[in-house]
Amino acid sequence: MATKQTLDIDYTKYNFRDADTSYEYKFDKGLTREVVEHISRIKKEPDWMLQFRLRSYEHFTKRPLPAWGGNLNTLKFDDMLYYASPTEKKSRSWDDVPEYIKQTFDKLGIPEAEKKFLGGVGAQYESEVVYHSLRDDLAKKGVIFTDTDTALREYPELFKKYFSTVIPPEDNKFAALNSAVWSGGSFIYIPEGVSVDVPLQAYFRINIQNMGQFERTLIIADKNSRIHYIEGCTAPIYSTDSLHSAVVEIIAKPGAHVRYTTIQNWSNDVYNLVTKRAYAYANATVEWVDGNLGSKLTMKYPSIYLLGQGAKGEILSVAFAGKGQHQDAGGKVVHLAPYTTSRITSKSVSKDGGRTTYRGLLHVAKGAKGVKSSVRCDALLLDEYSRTDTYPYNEINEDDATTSHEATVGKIGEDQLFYLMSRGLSEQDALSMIVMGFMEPFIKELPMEYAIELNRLIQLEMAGSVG
Amino acid sequence: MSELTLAEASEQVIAKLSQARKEPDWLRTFRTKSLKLFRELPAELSNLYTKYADLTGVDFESTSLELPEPPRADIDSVVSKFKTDRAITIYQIDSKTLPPEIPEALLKEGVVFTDIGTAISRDPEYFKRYFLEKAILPEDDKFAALNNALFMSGFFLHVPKGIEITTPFRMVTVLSSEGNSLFTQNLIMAEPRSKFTVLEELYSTKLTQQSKRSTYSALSEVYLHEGAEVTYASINNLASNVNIFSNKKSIGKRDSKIVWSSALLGGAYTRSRLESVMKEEGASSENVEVVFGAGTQRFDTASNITHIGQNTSGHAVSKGVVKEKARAVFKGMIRIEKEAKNSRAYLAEHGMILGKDARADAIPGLEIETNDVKATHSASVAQINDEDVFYLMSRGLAEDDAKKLIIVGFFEPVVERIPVPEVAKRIRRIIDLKWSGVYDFESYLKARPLEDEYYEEEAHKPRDLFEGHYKYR
Repeated sequence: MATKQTLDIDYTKYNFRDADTSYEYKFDKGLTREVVEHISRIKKEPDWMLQFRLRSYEHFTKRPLPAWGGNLNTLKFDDMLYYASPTEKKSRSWDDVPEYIKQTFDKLGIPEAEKKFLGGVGAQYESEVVYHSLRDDLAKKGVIFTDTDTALREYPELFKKYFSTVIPPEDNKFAALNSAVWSGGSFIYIPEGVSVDVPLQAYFRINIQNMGQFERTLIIADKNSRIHYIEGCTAPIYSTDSLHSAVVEIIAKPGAHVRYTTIQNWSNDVYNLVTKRAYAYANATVEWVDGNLGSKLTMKYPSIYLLGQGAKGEILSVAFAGKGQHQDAGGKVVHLAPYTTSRITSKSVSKDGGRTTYRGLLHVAKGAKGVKSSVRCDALLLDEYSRTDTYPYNEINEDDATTSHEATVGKIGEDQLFYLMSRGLSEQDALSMIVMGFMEPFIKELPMEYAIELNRLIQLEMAGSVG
Repeated sequence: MSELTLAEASEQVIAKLSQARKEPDWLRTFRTKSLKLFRELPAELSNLYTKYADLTGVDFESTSLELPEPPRADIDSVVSKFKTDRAITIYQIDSKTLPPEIPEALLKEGVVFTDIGTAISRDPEYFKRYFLEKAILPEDDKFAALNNALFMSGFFLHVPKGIEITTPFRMVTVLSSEGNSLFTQNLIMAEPRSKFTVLEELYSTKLTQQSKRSTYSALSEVYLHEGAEVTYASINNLASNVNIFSNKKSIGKRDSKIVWSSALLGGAYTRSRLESVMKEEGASSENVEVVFGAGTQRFDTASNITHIGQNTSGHAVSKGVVKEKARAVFKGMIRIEKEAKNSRAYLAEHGMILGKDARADAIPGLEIETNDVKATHSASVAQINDEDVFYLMSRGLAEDDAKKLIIVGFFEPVVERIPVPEVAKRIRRIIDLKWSGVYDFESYLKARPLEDEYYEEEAHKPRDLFEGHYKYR
């Protein structure tokens, strides 16, 4: 049981001060041109970024909401706060974090420091100390790993060269929104031939909020480099923001290998509308490992553009929709070069009236010879009130492509349950074991500690689902 | 009536046409309402498919609203070419409909097989009720609305309770397709435990140089009462200047079974919508559809399976070969509603792309609202398997013949379901000729049949496509 925590962490004892925390601006709710200009001014951004934000804002106001996907009717853009300075963010207290979230933390065995961080109470400063040596190591290799705002200040040329080249603001309404008001996120540059062996996580990063409302992540993996980035975490993240709209861009240069793992577990009142896209050049590999557990509505379709011969793309998407949740997830692969290969695997579980949707695109462009692709989506419905939809789009323009798509929907087999129970498991344990087995391909891809956490989380989600 | 174009079809024009045919008032109202809906509705109702709605080449401006009167095609020669005593045939040759010769025994049993105009004028009250809640309402689809507004021909088939008929009911349509249009609506009533087969064949006469775009629109509805079993096979081999709009739908009551099989071979642009609704417990449906596109042909097909009742089963397979610059979009949706517990559904879309400029898109969808079900779909795109070609060549076939044989085999699941052996033969020949780049009507009739070389004469039982599938073991 979570005992009462105080928020009076004495930051001075770590002996660092964030100079930027001195600014404090109050914004009214709603998004106007002035708000956008203000954000840019506070951040002391160069003019091109201001112009970029304004162009994005213009597009955002003009662009209609998507007519497809989840229900966005209750999304009120005018009721939202589009920017809050870091000091405001931290002014929330541990007491404000809902009890059920705290209990979940306890059950998952999350360390105190991380608990507060996850609770949005800003404990990320501790992590800096913990991961300091790791960051030194990376820096020696020439790896840049910082937050996106800092990157704009410190690496202006590199930043400008790649920023928004993969996802232009005109891509969709939410990409435009993010482009107008983005703040935070990770910026990673891996030099040629460098291989980062440990997965990089947002935890490691210094400063400013890690879990921004409109975070903007840019990963550039130079030739033959290797990196695994992990975003989010398995534990539920408590947030007062009702809309999270991130943009993630990945550029995998020839021969690079990038894996991006996301485990999204926002609380159940959050709209999570995210645009993620990767460019994979010749012989590069991009892998999206995408888990969606939380949020009220998620609309997220990580995509890979295979631009060079021999590029490889892999998307592994897992969704778990409980009561009142709609996980509209999937993936897109666009084959634009010959001899490229891709695989999409989607697994979804719906229970207690939750709804999962797989929405995917497989596009083989003209001239992309010798493409091989397979798509597989499986859905499990745990009760009669839940719903699942599959909308795969397969567009093949080349005559020697080999593509396949398969999907199945089913329920847990009585005989499977019976078998496990005959071996001494309770119905509850048998059920969660079957669900975990169903999720296995995803869990296998996670680093150890995440896999353990996710397993525990599924057990928790499954609790009380029998009877 | 002078040459009016489709684009000029107005409430007044429809009212006039309806009056000339002495139709009841309610039908005139229904037609004008449908026309209004045609104008208002978007080309694609579901926003899932908006991106694929492409009506280029659909030209109502220069297409005449009606067929030439008298028919241009030579009636006697058509009838002699298509005559068979293995089916009860209605001929529709341009604007002319020839009534079928129905055996005395069937008439006594109460079987009705007639053109739809005659049927409506015989019992307007019955049809009034039916039109209010028909399976394909004008609200459902833009081009279904247009058909409901303009249909002038088609057949009505009613098979009473418990009657089983092995001889297929057949409709042969031959169009001179010279910038004109045909709107036809077919209605099939299968009373409890009746069992029969319907065969629909569409051909065009030889095209001339100056042939303008024509329009062919067909709407077919099948109502299956308790335990009824209906097989509906159709072959569409219209000329390459015809835009084809087809809507088919079945409503199945308790323990009924519908088997659709369609071969889409002809046309410039083909838009096909097929839906099997399993309304009551134990109903089942099968749909096998093949597309063979060549030249600049475009196909846009949807096969939907809707489960409403418990313990229902729905299966659909769409297969397509596209060569040269042909394009095909295969859409499909399995919908399992809340009450449809213990249902099984299977949807597959398989394409073979045989040309640099050919294109195939597949969008198999699932919408599942209850858990006690098994629903599977799959889609694939591939080429002719080199190993298969090699095998056949090692047996002495030339490379082109080997490939041709593989393509003919690819379509066999539909062809073998065609209930009249000589029609099945003709279709094999059409596929064979199409492979060799011959598309015109006269050649089909003259060519040496392929099956003389490769097929045995005796009809064999169609293979079961679904139960043998590994997903059903």
